[in-house]
Amino acid sequence: MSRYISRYLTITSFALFLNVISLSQVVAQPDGGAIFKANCTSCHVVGDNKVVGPGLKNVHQRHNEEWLLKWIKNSSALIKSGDAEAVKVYEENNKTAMPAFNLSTDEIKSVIAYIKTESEKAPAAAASGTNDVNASSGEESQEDGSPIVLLLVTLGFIALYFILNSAKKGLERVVRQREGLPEPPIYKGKAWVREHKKLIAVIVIFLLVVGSVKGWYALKGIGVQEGYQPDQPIKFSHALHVGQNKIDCRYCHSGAEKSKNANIPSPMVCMNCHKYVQEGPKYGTEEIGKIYKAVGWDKKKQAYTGKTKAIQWVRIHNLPDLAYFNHAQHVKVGQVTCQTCHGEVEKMEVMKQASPLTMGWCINCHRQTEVKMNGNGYYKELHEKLKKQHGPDAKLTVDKIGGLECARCHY
Amino acid sequence: MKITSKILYVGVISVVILAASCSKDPKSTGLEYMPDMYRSPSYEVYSGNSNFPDSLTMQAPVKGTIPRNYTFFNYPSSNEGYEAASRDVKNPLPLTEENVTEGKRQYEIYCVHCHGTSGQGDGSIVALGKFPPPPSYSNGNSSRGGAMRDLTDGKIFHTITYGINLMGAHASQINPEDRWRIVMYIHQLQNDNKPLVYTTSTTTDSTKVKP
Repeated sequence: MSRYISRYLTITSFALFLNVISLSQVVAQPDGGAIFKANCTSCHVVGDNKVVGPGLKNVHQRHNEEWLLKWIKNSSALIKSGDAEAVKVYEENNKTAMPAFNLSTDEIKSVIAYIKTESEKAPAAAASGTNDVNASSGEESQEDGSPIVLLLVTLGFIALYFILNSAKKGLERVVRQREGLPEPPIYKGKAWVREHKKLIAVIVIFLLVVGSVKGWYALKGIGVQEGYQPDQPIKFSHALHVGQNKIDCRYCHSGAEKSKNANIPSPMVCMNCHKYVQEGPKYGTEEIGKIYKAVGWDKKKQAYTGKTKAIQWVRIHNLPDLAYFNHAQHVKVGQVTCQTCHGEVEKMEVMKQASPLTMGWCINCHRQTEVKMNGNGYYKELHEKLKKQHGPDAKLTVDKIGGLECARCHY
Repeated sequence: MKITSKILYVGVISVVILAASCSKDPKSTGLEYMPDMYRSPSYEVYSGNSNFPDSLTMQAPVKGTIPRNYTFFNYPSSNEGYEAASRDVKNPLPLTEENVTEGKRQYEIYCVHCHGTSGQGDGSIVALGKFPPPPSYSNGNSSRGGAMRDLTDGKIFHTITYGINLMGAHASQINPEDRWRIVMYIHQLQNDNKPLVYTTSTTTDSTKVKP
């Protein structure tokens, strides 16, 4: 009998133990922050600004908890039931329905508690959030070699030279007069030239050499805009978007693989992210505001007004009309990386032309670059033919397949 | 002779200064000789155009025009359209290794910075805390109900085309064929990135979508 009792006791105690464990799991507060991040952040922020849905700062003061519970569990049912508060919220947000969330009452309460605590510290967090990115991208181009400063310094030295020279001459004259020495002959005008032929010859030759070298490079640089870095209407930073955020070039320049042009992205592409990201790390809302103006986006109403205005970007890379260049041909077929021609764009705060874009530069690359033919559908037939012609392992550069023919680019 | 050498120094210095003052200003295009072919009067894709009210040369095609080989996707950007697309639409491309590889490549251009390399919603801008995470393909829940794992061809295609919540429409950036390839790769990510079972299709041209 006692054996049965003891067994019964062990079973019950074990069951109790299990019960306690499961109870403790139920009693433990669900993590409101985690639930919020998993379910809500794609439409809401704890702030004043609207994202897809309204900003949830102090939402616990605007609505009572009982109503919030009903709303979060099934908002469309609440609207259908004719609840005045629900209909008002629905109308205010352009009739965008919030999906029903299958969360328990405790979980929703924890989310509300999380929003409550976040609301109280929201302004401080927002301020610190914008500052820390600022520090990393604060590089400014240093101003050096300003010609005006150099010119002034030289003029100063020349003036100093003449002052000291006249003082020295004065002293020499005094010494000569005291010692009774004859005055040295003074050359002026043509006489000075006759006396200093060697010096003049040296200066003329020197100027001629320097001038012709400089002149040669100046002539070569005509029409070559390497290093051109104009101010753009929007201070868009490739260093931030490509370098830091690691967004692929072709996300915005989606034409690079498909067409002749690489595409200047339409501001609607910017809106894919900037509907949510309303403040930049460096210029705040100013530069992003220009996108909103261009597409006609009303930030407060979260709706398009229909009034658009084109952004006048300044063209940097410019080939003359006599040369044909196709992006798709190089990026998709040739598998050339963007950086080969455009330089380290991921480090450019302000976009600039990294290559000379001269014909010699094109030809040089065509002579050196090997055609990537293996597994390249575009070259399937040609590859078979060339393999027979040049042997299977021959190195085929672009010039071998006609990359130097005039009519390839000029027609 | 001392004076002459000094004059020489002055000369050299002034030449150097002159040379330095010729350095190019990055904000100017520099010297140009007959730039007519560089800035030609003919209209180019992105040049301005005073003949149109929006001052753009590149005008949208006339309403109702479609490109060749265009596949219609006649489902509106709404929940009803989403459900209807899920019911009716199947991926028109054969499930081949080639298509999935290309889908992966496209995914890594257009999706990866938010959705992450393994589709867990941990892309680069999410990791930097600049953008809220999208739900994981393998174990997240869709905001329009159901698990992300169970999203159908039509639902994913509809979402890429029109966007949802914070995700914008990507129809202008990704053409329909590439969207379908991305859909294939997303199916692989839904299944914890396990390789898909390819159809041993003998379709000659997998790049063309038959309408």
